[in-house]
Amino acid sequence: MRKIWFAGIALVVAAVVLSGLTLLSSIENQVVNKVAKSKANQTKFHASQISDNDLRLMANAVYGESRGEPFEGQVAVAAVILNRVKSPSFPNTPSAVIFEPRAFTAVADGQIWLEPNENASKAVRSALKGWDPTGGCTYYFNPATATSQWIWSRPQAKKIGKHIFCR
Amino acid sequence: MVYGAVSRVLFPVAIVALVGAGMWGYQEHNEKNSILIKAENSYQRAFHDLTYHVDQLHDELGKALVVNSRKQMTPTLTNVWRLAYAAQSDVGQLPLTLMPFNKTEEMLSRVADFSHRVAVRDLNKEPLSQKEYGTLKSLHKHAADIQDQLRKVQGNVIDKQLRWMDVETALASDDKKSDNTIIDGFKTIEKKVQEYPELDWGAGIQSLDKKKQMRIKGIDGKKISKEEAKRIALDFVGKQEGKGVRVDVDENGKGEGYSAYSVRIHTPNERSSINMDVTKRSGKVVWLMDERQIGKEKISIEQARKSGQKFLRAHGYGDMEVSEVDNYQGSAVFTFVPVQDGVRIYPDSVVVEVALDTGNVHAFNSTEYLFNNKKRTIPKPKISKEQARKQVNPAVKVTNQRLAMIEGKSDGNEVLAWEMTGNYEGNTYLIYINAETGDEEEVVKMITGGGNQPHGTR
Repeated sequence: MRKIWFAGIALVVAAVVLSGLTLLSSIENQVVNKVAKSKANQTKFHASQISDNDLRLMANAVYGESRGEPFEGQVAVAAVILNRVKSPSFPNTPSAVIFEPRAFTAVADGQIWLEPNENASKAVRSALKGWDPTGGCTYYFNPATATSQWIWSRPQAKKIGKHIFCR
Repeated sequence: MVYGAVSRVLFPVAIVALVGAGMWGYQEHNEKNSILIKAENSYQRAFHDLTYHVDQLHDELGKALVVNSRKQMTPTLTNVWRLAYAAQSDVGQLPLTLMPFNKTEEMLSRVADFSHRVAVRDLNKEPLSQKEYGTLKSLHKHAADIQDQLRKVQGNVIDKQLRWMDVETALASDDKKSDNTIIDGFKTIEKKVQEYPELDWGAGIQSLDKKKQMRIKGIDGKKISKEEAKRIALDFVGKQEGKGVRVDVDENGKGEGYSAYSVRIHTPNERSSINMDVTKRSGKVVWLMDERQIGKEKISIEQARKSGQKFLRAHGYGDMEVSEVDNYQGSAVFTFVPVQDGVRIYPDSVVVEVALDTGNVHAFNSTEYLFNNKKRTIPKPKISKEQARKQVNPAVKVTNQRLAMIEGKSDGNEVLAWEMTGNYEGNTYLIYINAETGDEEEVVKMITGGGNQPHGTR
């Protein structure tokens, strides 16, 4: 009798342990699967740059300043903003560069608050990734509407669309 | 009769309308005035802050010359850094943009960089050199000049109640005759700063910019003609002139950082153009940008990567490895780096954007590669893998480790480093340990995630 009891208990214990183990391993498997899946799904790995809101602000500025221009010209305007951030003779953040008094006409007349299109934000992203059609310029102007004489004295790099880009 | 009756009714109406209009006008006038005063006050605040900060900056620079203990040197120099930075930010809030004041701004920024670099250095190991003392001394003198002039302008502003709004209108009208005390004062400062002899800011500051300039200008090789540039550009994208394909080549001015032809290939059937820069010497494509609108995504990131690699091989860049990847608005953007003897060469990176509809290369940028690429002999690391691992903050979980050449932060010279991918509180960082000295060279915060994360496309 006793032997049968012992055998029964041993059987139950073994069953519980076994089922517990299989349960555990299946959970582990799930976790592993999840990790593997997220790795496969990982399509972004790059150095942190500016926040999405800063990007939108820049897209606003680019759109306000150059919405009628070719895409290259929009990337160039975004690149000028970034070149100014890097330059010692300008403020050190994108927003300070954009809102510097008298720096951009689109800021002065409120056109910066127009809703930008996809192209403008793409242009900003390209400039952030390193494309700079101006080759390091920090100024640009529209020769048809420029009021400042001084701007003509800057060394010019190239003309894109209606804008002349200069140092 | 009729006229009298009409006028009897209309007269009071006209009076009410007139009084109403008058009241409305008065209110508008008041509102306009209050906005003008607010705008003027924010300019005044920036201007008086600027003079205050320059005052303090001059004093702190004087202190830095007098201080003898290294314990006091660091706080004094960090104050110089903070004040110069603050003064530069004040200038950025004044309406001086289209006025030559950039030399002064540049000087303030250089002072900030210089003092910061010296302040964070271990002054016990490496005290200020004679040269650096010389620089500090001249800076102290220059700050005195600027301070004097600013104080004069400030005195005038307070005495005569000058308004910055008038500066703005004077600058906007661009009238040569307009005599504005404030503008004249700032022009005097700028003139003085321009006349200062070039200071020795030490390695690292100008040398970084200058080196880049020199390398860019110094791309050598045979000079190519406009026609050749056109042919190179067409070959690069695998197109032929004619059949609606039109090519423009621009010579560009001297202001560009490197001398290159700008080539625009117009393809009317795709209603877009491809733009690129081709260097005037040896005819290398610096960058390319296709303006075609990208359609619906059809291929995976992995396929895009293969397409990018194939493109690089086809254009003579050899086998390169992906170091960074990002995707947005229908395209995937990869940063490729060459690998030499198992070491990643970061200065020679090339960026390739692949359109996820056709899988074709949409944009390409080899600026870094062209200006940094050279024959390298990779030194043997003096610090072992395990030793380098010990230099990393123990709280960081290192998941990957490899050797890499990077541009050193201090002077821009290339250094061999152990690159470690580490995780800390759910964020990924790349940590660089100098493989020669064991110093922590740099830490870069990385953005990781899937395709449709909220921080990705907006």
